[in-house]
Amino acid sequence: METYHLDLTKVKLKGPTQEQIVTCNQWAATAFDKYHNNSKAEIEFSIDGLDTKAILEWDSNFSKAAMKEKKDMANHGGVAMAWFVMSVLKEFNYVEQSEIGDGVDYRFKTEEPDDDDLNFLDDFHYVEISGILEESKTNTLQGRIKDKHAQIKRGYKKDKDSSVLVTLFKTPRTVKEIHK
Amino acid sequence: MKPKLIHQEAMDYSFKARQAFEQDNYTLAFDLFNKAADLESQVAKFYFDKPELEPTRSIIIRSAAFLNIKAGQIEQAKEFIFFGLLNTKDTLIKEQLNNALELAVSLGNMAPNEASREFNYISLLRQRSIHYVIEPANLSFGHSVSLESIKEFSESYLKSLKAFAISKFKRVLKIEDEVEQSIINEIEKLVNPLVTSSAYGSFKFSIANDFLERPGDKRELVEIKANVISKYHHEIFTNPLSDDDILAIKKDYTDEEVNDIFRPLAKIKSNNTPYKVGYYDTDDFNKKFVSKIVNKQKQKLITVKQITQEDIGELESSLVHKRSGKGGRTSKQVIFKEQIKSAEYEIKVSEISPKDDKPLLLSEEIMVNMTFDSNKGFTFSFPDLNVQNTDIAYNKALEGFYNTFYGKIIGVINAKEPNEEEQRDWSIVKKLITNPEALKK
Repeated sequence: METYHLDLTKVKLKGPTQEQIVTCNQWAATAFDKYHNNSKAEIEFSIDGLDTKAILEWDSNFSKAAMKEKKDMANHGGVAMAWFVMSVLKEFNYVEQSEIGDGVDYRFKTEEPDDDDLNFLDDFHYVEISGILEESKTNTLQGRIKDKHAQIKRGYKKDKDSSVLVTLFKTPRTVKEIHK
Repeated sequence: MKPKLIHQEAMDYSFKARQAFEQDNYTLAFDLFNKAADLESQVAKFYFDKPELEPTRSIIIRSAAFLNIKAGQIEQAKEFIFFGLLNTKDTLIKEQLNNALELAVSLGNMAPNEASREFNYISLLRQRSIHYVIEPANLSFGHSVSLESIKEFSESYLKSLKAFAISKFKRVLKIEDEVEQSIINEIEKLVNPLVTSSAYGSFKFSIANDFLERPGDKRELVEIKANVISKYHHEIFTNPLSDDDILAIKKDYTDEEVNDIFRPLAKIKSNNTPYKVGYYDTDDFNKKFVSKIVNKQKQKLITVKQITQEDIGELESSLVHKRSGKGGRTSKQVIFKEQIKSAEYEIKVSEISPKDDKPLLLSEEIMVNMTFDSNKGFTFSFPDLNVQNTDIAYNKALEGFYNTFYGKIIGVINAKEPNEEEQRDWSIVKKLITNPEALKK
């Protein structure tokens, strides 16, 4: 079984600053630490229909004083896992963010556009990202995936190349599905 | 100019601003959002005269509009919103810019730091919101819902929600006895749903409770306060109340708690409310209407307190000043006296006794709701069959209720070409009367 460290994103992904990647990874680590010991867990990746198991390790050596809000753990932790999957497992080495009303849009590319590229947000792979700490009767992984597909369907990205990427932290599972 | 690099710098400031906001450091968040907005505005203006650079142009203009709102720079935000609305062809971005415009108008008169804080607070509240819709039960006035219905809904919803919150707080604070009034008052202050969006016609609105840790708030209470509406919505409001659900509720809550939580809710979900309540499911975005609470469920849930007619007449509060004079004589002066204004409870009925017909024995006991209102008098109702009667005298109100109930049953049994409502009533009557055929005329 393959072993990955969450910090691989720091090497693989361009676009966000190192500080952003570290902060998101720390949120993911806080979420994982709620349910798993020794900073590692067996995780199931379901990437575009292909299921694999792996050992995921993370760094838990940081102050968690400001990382108490569960909603933020799930949200930022979900972003960290999406960045990891796209850059480490799928070779999308670049992500561009843009501001929307209640958060941020994420667009991935396999290569970083040139600094002089004026149309640098064209030709991207759009990803709807989400995270769930643990499932409940009304908040399931499957439900969230469906919900994220519906969000893409409602938006203009329905005709573009896009995916949903959702992580469940308790029984660790990350699902990436291409939106069709 | 290298717009990509400036945009990335802006997004980094925005990321840091969100972190500062989540750590309740509003001054730093405001400062960082301003830096992000200034940079993104430069980039957005660069794209104004470059229509060939889509989709980057529209995405950056939207980004600049929202960053300026988050920074409280409302006039600057409007410049990008209007430009985007006139020039972008992307329907989703247009929709989002229309939302931004709505926000910009409502924040327009505030100072920038106040507007920034307000927007960021409401954005987080919106993420936590439950989205409801109230529609009229019949379409006499189209889909517009009356203010009376909204008032009735919000009164009952608040009563039920607060009762739920009190029972949750009791568990956290480990209070087993009755809660002191001062604590109830404190909890009621904490549980105060805020309207985070609304739309007219059929009344659509979203609500969330405050989630910020205020000075003196206990951490565990903040946790309940922040999530109370979502918990209530999933655990109570949308509970289908199957037999198993009711058993679980009765196990988790005391009889009194169940009464306090579910009696107001039964009012909202009764068969004769003039409105129906829906919500938007967060899993599939579909509008779902909440199921009705029928008499059978009510019987299993609600514990009936036996209160007699005489008890009601005697309920009053008074403030009396007592003074002992010389020789042991006591004088009393009533300073304030108030008779009860309203009361509500259920009675169990197993026989309908109309004035001019033979009594009708029911095959199962039903719960009849009795309300007393000092302005109207006594009202007896059985929502499942939409039967009710009001009178200023208790006995007359009950007698009239029996007559109306009997008349309804006869009407349903003898309906020649039953409409949809009569067919629904027929399915209820069949369960209440052993031999309905005997009442055919």
